[in-house]
Parts: sequence; structure tokens; C-alpha cells
Amino acid sequence: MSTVASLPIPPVIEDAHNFDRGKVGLICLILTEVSLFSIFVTAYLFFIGKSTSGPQPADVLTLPVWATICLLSSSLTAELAARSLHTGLKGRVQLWLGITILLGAEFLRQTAVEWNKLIHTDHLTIATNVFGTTYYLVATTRRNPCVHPRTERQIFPDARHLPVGSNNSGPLRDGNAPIAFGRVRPDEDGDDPVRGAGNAKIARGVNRHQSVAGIELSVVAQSHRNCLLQRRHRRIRG
Amino acid sequence: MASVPYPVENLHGHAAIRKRAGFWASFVDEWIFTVDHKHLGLMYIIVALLFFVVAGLQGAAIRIQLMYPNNTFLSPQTFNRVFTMHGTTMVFFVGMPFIAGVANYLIPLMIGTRDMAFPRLNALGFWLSLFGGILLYSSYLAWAGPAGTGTAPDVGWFAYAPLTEKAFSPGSSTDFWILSIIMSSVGSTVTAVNILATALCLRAKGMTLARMLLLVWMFCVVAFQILVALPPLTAAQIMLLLDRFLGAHFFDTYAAGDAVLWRHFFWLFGHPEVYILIIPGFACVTEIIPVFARKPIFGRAAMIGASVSIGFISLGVWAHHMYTVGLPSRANIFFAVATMLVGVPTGIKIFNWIATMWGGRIRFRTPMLWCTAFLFQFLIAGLTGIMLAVAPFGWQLGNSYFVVAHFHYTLIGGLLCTLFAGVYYCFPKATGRMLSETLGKWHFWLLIIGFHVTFDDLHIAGLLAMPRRIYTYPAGRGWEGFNYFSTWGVAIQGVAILIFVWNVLDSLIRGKKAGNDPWDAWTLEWGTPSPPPAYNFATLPEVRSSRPLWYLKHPEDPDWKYEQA
Repeated sequence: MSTVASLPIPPVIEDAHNFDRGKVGLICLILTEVSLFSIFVTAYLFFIGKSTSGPQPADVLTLPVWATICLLSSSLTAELAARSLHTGLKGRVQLWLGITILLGAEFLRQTAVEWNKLIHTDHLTIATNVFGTTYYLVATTRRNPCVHPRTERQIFPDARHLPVGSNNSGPLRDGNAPIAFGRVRPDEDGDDPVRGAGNAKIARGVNRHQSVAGIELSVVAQSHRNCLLQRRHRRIRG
Repeated sequence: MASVPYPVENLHGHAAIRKRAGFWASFVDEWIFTVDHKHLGLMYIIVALLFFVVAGLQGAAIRIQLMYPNNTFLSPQTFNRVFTMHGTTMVFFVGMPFIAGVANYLIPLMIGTRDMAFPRLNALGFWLSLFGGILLYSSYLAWAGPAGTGTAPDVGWFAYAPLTEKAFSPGSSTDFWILSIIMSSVGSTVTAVNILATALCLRAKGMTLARMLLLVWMFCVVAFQILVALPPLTAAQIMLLLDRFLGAHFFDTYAAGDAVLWRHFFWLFGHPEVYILIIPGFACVTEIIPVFARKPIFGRAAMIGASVSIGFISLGVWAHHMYTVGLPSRANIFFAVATMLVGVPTGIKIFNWIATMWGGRIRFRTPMLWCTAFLFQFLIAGLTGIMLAVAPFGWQLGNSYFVVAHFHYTLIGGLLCTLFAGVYYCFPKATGRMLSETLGKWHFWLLIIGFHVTFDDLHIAGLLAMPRRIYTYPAGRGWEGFNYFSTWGVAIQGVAILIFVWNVLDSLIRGKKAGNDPWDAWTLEWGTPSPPPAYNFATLPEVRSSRPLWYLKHPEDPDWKYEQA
């Protein structure tokens, strides 16, 4: 048996290289949302061109340019708000957040107008045909809100090249629909089942699809909570 | 044996408050409003065990009905409800809460921290799971409806659309099934977030990922799988709800909806779910075998690699549940090959467990007995799994009792045995008392014998083409004997479970005092008192190897002589 003097030197205790739990929590949340919404999108792509009756996408959908501009720029303003948060300029944060809310409100108004037309003029509801079914599912749940809109644009034009169901009235009908833009919305209502489950705590302050800004905002909240926690631990240690 | 390495001071305050508040107030404070990971972990396990008894009785009812040909113990309608509730409860309200409980209780102790990363989220996850289960069972109280279609769901735990559409499942029972499972899935998801955040962010000083315990590693894989695999089920259930209530057409085959789509979505969840359930079993075995073989785990890095690769490969094998659907043969070949591929990392694990036992000084205490039984039974379950993975063979035996026997071998012979191993191993830590070894051995042998009597014969009944999910069968098919003995096996298992319940209750009151470290183990949780105080560690530990207590007990032979940091 070796003596204490001849013991091998224990390794230096280095830090465990822990990650920030706010970030990990939010990345997990994004992962699970991506999984959820990719199923919705899969259903949408699967049913393209399979409607047996009723309006087809090409008949009723138009390219919502103004709504898309509102949507994409709201990403930018939310990001700017998050950056101003780090500079500590309260007024600037409020300004950019205000603009984000205005853009979001305008976007919602556009959506209301569009849906009013779809439902009352074109008679397309969720029960009309599989196009209506999948369209409203994907549109109401904001497609995949955690994926950046740019990715959305890459996903949806591809739909044009998908094979079409044989029972469709014309070639590539559903696929021609310019629905690539405009359905990704900043989501203020938090109606998604996964998010509704109380992850709001991690993701408080996250504007749904602006994941980068969301992470940063939550990091700020998180560091505050870390301070509280450290204080609690110190209390426990006495 | 070394004394407690991490000195514990008594925390004043908490006990005093409890004394002042009176029993009920302190009970509510301590168990209802708790965010303590240990309380939540125990509550998860208690809930899981209660549901286990209920679902076990349902299983027994199924077996009694099938004991004789043309039996009339259960009506066809009741039989459908019972097997639906049995499967649903066992998967969502026994398996999932149990693994959440194990994770909650052990992970913070094992990585040397004071609580989970998001304690309140943790409590939310527990209550969602519990109320999900209560919601499912409250379907029994629902009004039967004009066509007698109410009460418990009768659509199977897989709920194949379009049979779950309003036209074929009127009444509210299917909605109970959908909503309760969405609820508990949300609970499981937040628990998974918590597990990953805890393991990645709260490790003690010095506990690098390379030194993190294998149990924690495996639970990270499970959490990842939960995050990726549960949403497809939730998404499909949302679609089904839209079909049922808003007249959508996802699975409505009259309006170009698609029935196979449900099966894809369901099994995209359903197969990873099998691994979500069994990997925690692997995790328990991986921690228990080394302690009772008195050797460090063999092939640590290979173990981690195997777990991670199981986590990924299992996401791509779902359609082996769908050979009988009539997919294109290219798809069948792909899924057959992918399924066999899962056998490789699983084989690595079994090899490593055996190699850990090889040449060790094995102590066959009750936890080790369960682990040893697990090795044999899981091997057989894996082999029948490979048989079913072969598309033509699976096509012949799909929807037969061979499949039933196979997955009960994985879930009882595999998961249940490892969970019992975990319970016997950790009971002293959680309660401060030992479970009785004698009763434990009775429990072990009776359950193992009962299990084999129940399910070994069902393999043969399946090979003789007995279809699953039938409520009765005619005489003269050659199935009678197997079914008869199978039901007697359930009775033996029932006796074993009664012994276990008695063992737990008796040991809680009269059990031998456990001390801090009854198994002479080497992971951090055994450095705390039994039961651990609310704050776990008075001083947060610092870690120098993957067996943190070993070098404190054996300074002459520390791990870092052999381990690379």
C-alpha cells in the first residue's frame, strides 16, 4: 500500500464548463417546437394537390407583400430592442418594442382582412377540403414560429416541385400557390400547447419567432434569477 | 468504510416552521406546494406505482377473459376499454412518471447540486402528469350517452384513425384519451427540458461531461428523445381534435384525408417512446451492476456512444410497426435495416454489462438479482425484436400475440425489472431504511417465475397465429393451454407485487436503518445523509473522477491513475 507521500497527484479541479440554463432551456423549447411544427408542415406538404373539391390555393391566395414586410421588419425591430436592452437605454428599448408591437398589430389586421375574404367571399373554411384543413392549421399555428422566416421562404417554394395528386383538376395547382410568405407571424397570444405548458417562465419576453432576440432577452432575465439563486444558496450555507 | 465525506449541518428554521404550522399545513406546504426535486421525484414514483396497480389489475382482467375459449368474463365493449386503458396507463401514467421520478430524485444528487434547473417548472410537470392521469380516468364518470358510447376510451393506446373519427367513435371517450395524453405529454416535455438544463448547467465543480455519471448521460439522451418524439403525437392529436370538433379532414378518408398518416405520426412518436422507457432502465442497470460487481463500468466511453447512437437511430425506425400497412418495399427494407442497426449499440451495452460483471466480486443482493434477470430477459426481448424487424417475418407475425409477448418482454422483463432494481437500490437513500432482503428475494423469484409463465407461452400462441386485441377465441385452435397457463402466471405476479407492497410498507416502519452508504457505492448521492436534507449538500462537492466517493474512501487507489481527465 502506498503512503500518502507517494500518492499520485490529484488532478486540478477545473470548472465543469457548465452552460447557461436559460439558453439550454430555450434551445430545448425551440427543438420541441420545431419538432411539433415540422409535423404540421409535413401534413401540409403531404396534402398539397389532394383536395377533391372546393377552392384551390391558386384560386384564392395572393402574395401578401405588405404583411410580409411588416412581419420581417418586426423581427429586425425586436432584435434592435434586445440590443438596446444591453446598452441600458430604456427609452430606446421602449421605442423599438413599440414599433414591433405596431408592426405586429398591422400584421394581425392584414390577416383579419385576408381571412375575412377567404371565409366569406371564397368560402374556404377548415371543413371545406384538405387544403382548407391544412392551410388553417399551419396558418393559425404560425407554421413553425421558431424557425426564422428566411428558412420559411426556403421551405415553401420547394412545394411547387412536389408531385401532385392525380385527382387534382390541373397540374401543380396547389403547388403554384404563393403562400410562401406572410403566414409567419409574431405571436402574441401564446396559444400553442407546448408553450402554453408553462415554459413561459423560461421564455418570458420572447417574441415567438424572433428566437435570437428571445434568447437574449431571456438571458437577461436569467442572469437576474441567477443572482437571486446565489443569494438563496448563500443563505442556506449560513 | 469512510465516514460521510460531506459534513452536514443541521438547517434550523425549516423544522421549527413545521412544528409551528401543524400537521396539515406542513403537509400541504411540504408535498403540495413543493418544488423540491426529491419530493417531486417521490411523488412521481408513488403516482406511477398507484397507476401501476390499476393498470396491472386491468391486465389481469384481460388475462382472465382470455383464460378459456368463448369466455364471458368481460363483454367485447368492456374488453376494448380495458385493453385501451391498460396500454395507455402503462405507457403514459406508469412508465413516464416513473422515469421522471427517477430522474428528478437522482440527477441533482448525482451531479452534486441542490435542485433541478427550473424547480417550479418541475412541479408543473408533475401536476400536469398527475391531472392528465386523473382526466383519463374521469372518463369512467362521463355520461354513457344515447348510444352507450361514453365511459372509458376503447380505441387502443394507438388510437388508429379514422376509427377515432367522430363517425366511428361518437361520444366523448376518445376526447378524454386525446386531452389527457396531450396534458401529460406537456408535463413530460417540461420535465425533459428540466433534465437537460440540469445536467448541462448545474454540475458540481470538476464534473466535466467526461466525468458525468452514465445514468445522467442516458437521461440526457432520453430527454432529447422526449423533446423530439413527443411533439409528433401532440401534433397528430391536435389534428384529430380538429377533425372531431371542427370538421377538418386530416384523417377523413372520404375527403382525401389519410389514415396511414396517423400511423406514421403515431409511430414516429411510438417507437422512440419505447426507447424513452427502456433507456432509463439501462441507466439504472449501468449504475447498479458496477457497485455490486465491485468494478468500474467496462467501456465507459462506448456506453456513452451507444446511448447517444440509440437516441438517434431510434428516431428512424418507426415504420417497422407498419409492415402490414403495405408500404413500398424500399421503405420496408430501409426500416428493417435501421431497426437491426439499433441492435448494434444495444449489443455493445449488453457486452459491457457482462464485461463489468466478468471477474468482479459479485454480491447478489436484491438489486443485483433484478439486474441479472434483466440481462437475460432483455437479450431474449432483443432477439425477438430482431426477428420482428425482418420485414417478411414481421409481416407474418404482425398483430399476433408474438408481438405482445415481445414487447412485454422488453417492458416487464426489461424495464420493470430494472426499475425494481432501482427501487431496491435507492430505497435506503430515499427513506433511510433498508428493504427486507428476504421479502425482496421472494418478490424477485415470484415475479420472475410469474412473468415467464405469463409471457413465454404467449410467444408460441402468437406463432400459432393467435391475433392480438381479440376479446375471445374459439376452441380447437391450439391456443387454449398457452392462454390458460399464461393467466396463472399473472396470479403469481400478483402475489409478488403484494409481497413488494408489504415489503415497502413494513420496511418504512420497521426496516433496518440504512446509514448513508449501505452498498459501499461511489457516486455522489451516497455522500449525503439518508434521506438527504432539503439542500442535498451542505457544501457543494468537488469532483476529481467519475467515481467521486471512491478516492475519498480509497485514497491509495484513486481513479485518476487510470482515467484521462
